[in-house]
Amino acid sequence: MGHPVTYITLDDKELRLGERAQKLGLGLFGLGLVLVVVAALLGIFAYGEEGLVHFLRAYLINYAFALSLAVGALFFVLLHHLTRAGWSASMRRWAECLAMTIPLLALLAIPLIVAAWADALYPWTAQIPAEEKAYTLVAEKRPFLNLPFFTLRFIVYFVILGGLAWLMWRHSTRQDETGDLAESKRLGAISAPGMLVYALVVTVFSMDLLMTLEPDWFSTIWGVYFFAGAVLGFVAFMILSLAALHASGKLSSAITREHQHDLGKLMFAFVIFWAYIAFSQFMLQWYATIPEETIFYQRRASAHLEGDAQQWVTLSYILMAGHFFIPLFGILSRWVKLRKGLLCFWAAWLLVFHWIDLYWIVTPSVLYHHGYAATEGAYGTITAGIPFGYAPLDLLLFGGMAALLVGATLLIARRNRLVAIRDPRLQESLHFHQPF
Amino acid sequence: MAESVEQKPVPSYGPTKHLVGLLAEFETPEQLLKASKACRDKGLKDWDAHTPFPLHGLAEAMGLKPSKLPWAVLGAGIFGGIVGMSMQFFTNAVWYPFIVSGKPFYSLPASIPPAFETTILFAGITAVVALLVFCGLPRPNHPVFTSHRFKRASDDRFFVSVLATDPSFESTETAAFLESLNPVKVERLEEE
Repeated sequence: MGHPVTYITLDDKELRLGERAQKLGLGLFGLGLVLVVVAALLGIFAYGEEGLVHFLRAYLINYAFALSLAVGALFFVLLHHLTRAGWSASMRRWAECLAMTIPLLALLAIPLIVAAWADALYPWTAQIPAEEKAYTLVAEKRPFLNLPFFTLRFIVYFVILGGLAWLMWRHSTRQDETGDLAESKRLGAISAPGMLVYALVVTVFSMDLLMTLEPDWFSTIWGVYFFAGAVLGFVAFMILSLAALHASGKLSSAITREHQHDLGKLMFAFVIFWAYIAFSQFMLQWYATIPEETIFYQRRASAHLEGDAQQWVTLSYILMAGHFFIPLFGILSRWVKLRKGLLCFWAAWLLVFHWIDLYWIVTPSVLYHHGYAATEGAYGTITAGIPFGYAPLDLLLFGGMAALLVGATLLIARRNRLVAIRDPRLQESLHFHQPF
Repeated sequence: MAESVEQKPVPSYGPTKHLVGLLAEFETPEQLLKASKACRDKGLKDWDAHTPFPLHGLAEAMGLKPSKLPWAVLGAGIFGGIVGMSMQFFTNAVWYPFIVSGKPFYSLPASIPPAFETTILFAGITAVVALLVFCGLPRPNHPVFTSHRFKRASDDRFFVSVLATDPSFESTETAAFLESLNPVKVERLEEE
């Protein structure tokens, strides 16, 4: 290029997390465990009979939130190697560490598996009485919706996703030591079939995790919907966490304004992508008006919802505005994306709405299928409104899962440098500069 | 004063040539960046920098302002969205009301995809057309093409051209200014 070729060397002190990060990581990890246990005890003992369901509901929401960030990170790393991206070479390691929390998330999935076996969360886990068989499709779906296969699938998901995350991380950190160019080629070779397997696994995984809350429902776009939210959440998390690392004096020359700008653009793209997918799902089901498709929206956005249940309609509008229209215009301008404070604000905003999206997916279905406070309206059974009374469980588990995820990421990142220093495309990333 | 900018006697025969600009030639990108900064600081208007490849920092050195193109595209996009929405509203709900699959005459979800398409269509066409307009294209000729040396602008040389249309242009003074930037050569651009 036109400028004189200079080799940018990075200060090694800025690339390693210190003792403080170790303590912070351990502290957050401990705090996370405590918060989850406190929420469990509170749910089981303080809230009476309905407490357990609401604990499991809140656990599922926040588990899906943490999982979506890690799964989004794995996508980012796979995509980086698949496309031989230059721009993201200096931030790749942090995403690798976030993806490496997938084994931890496998352990955190155990309560959900137990809940399924105990018939405490998913509606399809119960025996279907003969007289109800005419009203549900679960009996027809038994070859897929049965507990042993469900458990086996979770094991397969985590072996594949965890294995991919480990391979990405292992080869990349090994290159830090050896500087072997073959590692980059190997990562590229893994990422191509890896991306195909990733897409299939995430699609079916999101169906098992969230869609089976509504076992009679059909939506062939569900996997992409979850994926869109997951990558959006990941990019928002990336912007915030890199800003936090900057603030603590790390990566100041490895992550530049250009990288931040690029992440802003990626976040903007996924705001639109999420809306595109969400609208595609909604419009086709709204237009066709087939009962087994519209049940999902019947609980959330139907004009026939009465009383407290109308809160779900309000929440649907809030989600539409907060997850799409407001951030669309908020981060449309380059001016905003180049300002770290503003971009961090929108990243935090979108993380909140990614969480609200998951809340909106999980809660109405759980309330409906557990029959809590359901009333008979003119158009059939109507779910209760938003369970504000159980908000402490939601908040505790949110704090718990977030602390576990960030704590684990810090502890993993502490073991190696924060930047893949011998990546052949690192210099390209450091030099990257946009004329305008 | 260098011999290159000396006024040559106008021959008494043949077409009369008049000065339309000056062209300074540089050997390295660094010199071009330095010269661009000097032109920017001098407050020149009708001038340009020419380089064989994209040069980092040149836009800043030339003092170029961010393009107005995004605003044109945004405006056209919003206009296109309104056109798409109102087209469907007036045809479906006002002029030819017709019940389709039990939906209201005008329902928002069904009209979003066409409105989205007109938004993209208007914004896309505007992006192309406005880009050409803002770049001053199509432009069949430019004074720098009278110079044979300028051919190296697409190979290994860097140029600054100042056109006579610039309000502060004065042939000897501007030539002296360009000489002060230590170019390889300052050339007079003349047209018939």
